Amino acid sequence: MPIAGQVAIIGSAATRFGVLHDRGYLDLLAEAARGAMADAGIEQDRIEAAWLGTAEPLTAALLGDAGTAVTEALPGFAPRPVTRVSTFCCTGMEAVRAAAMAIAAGEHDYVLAVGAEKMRDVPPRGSLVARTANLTHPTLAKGRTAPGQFALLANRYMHEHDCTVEDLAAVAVKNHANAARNPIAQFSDPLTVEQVLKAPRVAEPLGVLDCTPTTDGAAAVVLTSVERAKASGKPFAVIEGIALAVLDGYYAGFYHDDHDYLGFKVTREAAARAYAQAGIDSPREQLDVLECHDCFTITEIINYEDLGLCPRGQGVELLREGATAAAGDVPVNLSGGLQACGHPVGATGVRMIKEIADQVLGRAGERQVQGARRGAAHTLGGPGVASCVAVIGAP
Amino acid sequence: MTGAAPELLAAAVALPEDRLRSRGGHLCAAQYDEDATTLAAEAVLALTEQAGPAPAALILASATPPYDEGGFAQTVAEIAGLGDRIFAVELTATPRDGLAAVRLGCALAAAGEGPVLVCAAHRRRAAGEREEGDGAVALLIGQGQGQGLATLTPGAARAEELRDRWRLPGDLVPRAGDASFVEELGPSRLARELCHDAALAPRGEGGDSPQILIAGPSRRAADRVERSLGGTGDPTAARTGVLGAAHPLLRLLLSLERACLVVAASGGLGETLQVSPSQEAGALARAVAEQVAGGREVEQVASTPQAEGFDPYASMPRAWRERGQDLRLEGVLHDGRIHYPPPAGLEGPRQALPRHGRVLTATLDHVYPGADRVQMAVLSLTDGSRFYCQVAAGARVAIGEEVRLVPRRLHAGGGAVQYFWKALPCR
Repeated sequence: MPIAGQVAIIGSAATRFGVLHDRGYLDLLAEAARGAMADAGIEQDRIEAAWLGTAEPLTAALLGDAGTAVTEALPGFAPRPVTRVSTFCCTGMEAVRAAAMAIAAGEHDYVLAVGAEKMRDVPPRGSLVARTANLTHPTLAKGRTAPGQFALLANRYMHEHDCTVEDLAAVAVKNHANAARNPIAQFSDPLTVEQVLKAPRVAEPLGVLDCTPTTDGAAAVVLTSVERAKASGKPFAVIEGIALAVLDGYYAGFYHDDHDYLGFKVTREAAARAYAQAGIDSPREQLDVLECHDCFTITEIINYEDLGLCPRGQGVELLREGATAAAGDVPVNLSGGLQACGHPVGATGVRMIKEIADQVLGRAGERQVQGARRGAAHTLGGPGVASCVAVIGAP
Repeated sequence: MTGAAPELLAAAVALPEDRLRSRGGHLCAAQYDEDATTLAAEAVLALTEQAGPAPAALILASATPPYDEGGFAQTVAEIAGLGDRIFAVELTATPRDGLAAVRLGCALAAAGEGPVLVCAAHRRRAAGEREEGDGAVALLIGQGQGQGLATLTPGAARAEELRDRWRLPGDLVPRAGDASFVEELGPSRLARELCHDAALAPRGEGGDSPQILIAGPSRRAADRVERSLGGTGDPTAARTGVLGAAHPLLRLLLSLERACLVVAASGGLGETLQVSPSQEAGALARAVAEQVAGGREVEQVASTPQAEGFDPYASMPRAWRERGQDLRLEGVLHDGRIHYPPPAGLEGPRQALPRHGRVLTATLDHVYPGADRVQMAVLSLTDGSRFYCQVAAGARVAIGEEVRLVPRRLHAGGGAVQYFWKALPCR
């Protein structure tokens, strides 16, 4: 049985995203998982298997390094199978994709996909930046940081296209404004372009406010077949398409001859497959709302193009004309995105899918896009070597 | 063929671009990511890029090696692509060793085991060393059948128990002997005696008095002795600083327009070399003089950044296994292009990436824990390959700028020095 149109999201939940010193990794995982099961109206006993997305267990003393974290957080769940997945920043969405395949294959009736990350039990500078800088390949990636990697695209993009640092800042301003309407977001205060530009520099031209923060949080969804969801009579959303694309390696990504540092081929590949599953050939017209991977401000502009909302090189125009703003024809990152909602890596993709499911179910609160019937979520991993795109629709 | 007089076949000099103001002049100042290995490698690469036979041996000399024990000749041999069958050896006692390396090179060449690559390098240990400079000189010595740049004839040598300058294990800055003792009986005396010994030896063809060149650890003392023996003094040191073991070789190259006697004395060790240049050698002397006179005058160079929070991954097996890609930029030639880093399982011969290109994009990263700020760049190399790397310390690049790749230190995390290639503007 194919995934497209056959798998239903019947419950979802997310913890607050932020610096959550009062809760540990397992607390967050348990809160999201139980919340999703409660939202679905499904007892834990009926969940037959789970997929866990955690990308960086090294920031949480190795918690989340295996699926056993789920059985520890959910007493009584053992000995049911739990698989941990890790695909850089695509981790959470990949957990959902893997869980959906189990439903589509008929292996299980009800499954849980949960993403969790505890990144702030260590200071920000001791978190991903230092750890990944230290642990990367001693030569091929030495000097690499995540902001530095995306700043390379920002400078190339500004060199090639009519794009300024003010345009980059406008992405942060838009997403922080959106986050004010999201009760789980890490940040809720609005920003100005001036604030973004005056913030300390991280990797030029990107400053602190061009970057996603480091975040604690978890999110979960419960999946079943569309057939079973229909029979329940309860509201549900449908996974109309979901695709993962992976290029070769990690370090090799920096050295690809065809990498023009103006976009990500891997996103275009994933989007093409997910859109084909969902029957989408004109994304801007056929999608009512999007969540995309705005780890850095430049990334969102590039994503517009790679996700097919506009031709390559015209992402800034789309932003400037307000098409992706809350009142635009294709709102992007109404949750605040990674920029302001936060980015607990393993949880982000699950949280995005929950956000789009909420939109098509008409329960997105102040963020609701009136009449939204179909949306897409997108994550991008590593130095542009993995991407996952999901199309979620109303039944 | 054996028995012919060894000759200088080719030479190259690597001097850092920065000239730091110093007492009585300037000195060549390397950046914090350069050491004797990288300087030597640059000189050797510059030499081997010239047409010529592949060397059968590499003799390195440096009183400032990056490892107290463990060697750096093998690293230089790897970076320069000299092949793993080469005989490589290093001399690390005193600055005299530059000339001692030439003697050994001549002996090997005369025995028919040439050509021999001789390289001497010096890297200051501390900013307080205001007389010394950084740089390297590489010479190719072999049997030139009279077609070489100069005939090289090692002469008198000395070895006495005499400490004018030394370091015990763990010392960063050298210790110095009593000033009056060193002044009266140290390298200056040794240099005079060596000149006297050499004067007793049979002269070369023509019998003209050769120009006397004195090299020692003290620029002023060496200059004084040289002038007292009828020489012109050492103007080079005022521009480059005293380049340790490389200094006598640099002076040799600068003096190739006439016969000379090079004398190096340090730490009770002394060495002499008679040089009889060909008419063609003058062009090399003038090219080296231009290199010495060049550079960019600066008031200071960046110090080694604090490495707080920097604990890089290190693995000796990985470093050995991937030495081709790390040190020689080798990828796999497949379907007409070089795949780098070499993909596992891709069939094809190993081939090095070109070391020139242009900057496709770059960023100045403020948060990388191993440096104050590090500029990272993606290059479009001349064959179309992409290359991702740091920009060399002290340099900045812009999109579109022409750059070359140079060997540099990345870090010494994990207890071993990790070398890789960084971008340097071709200005």
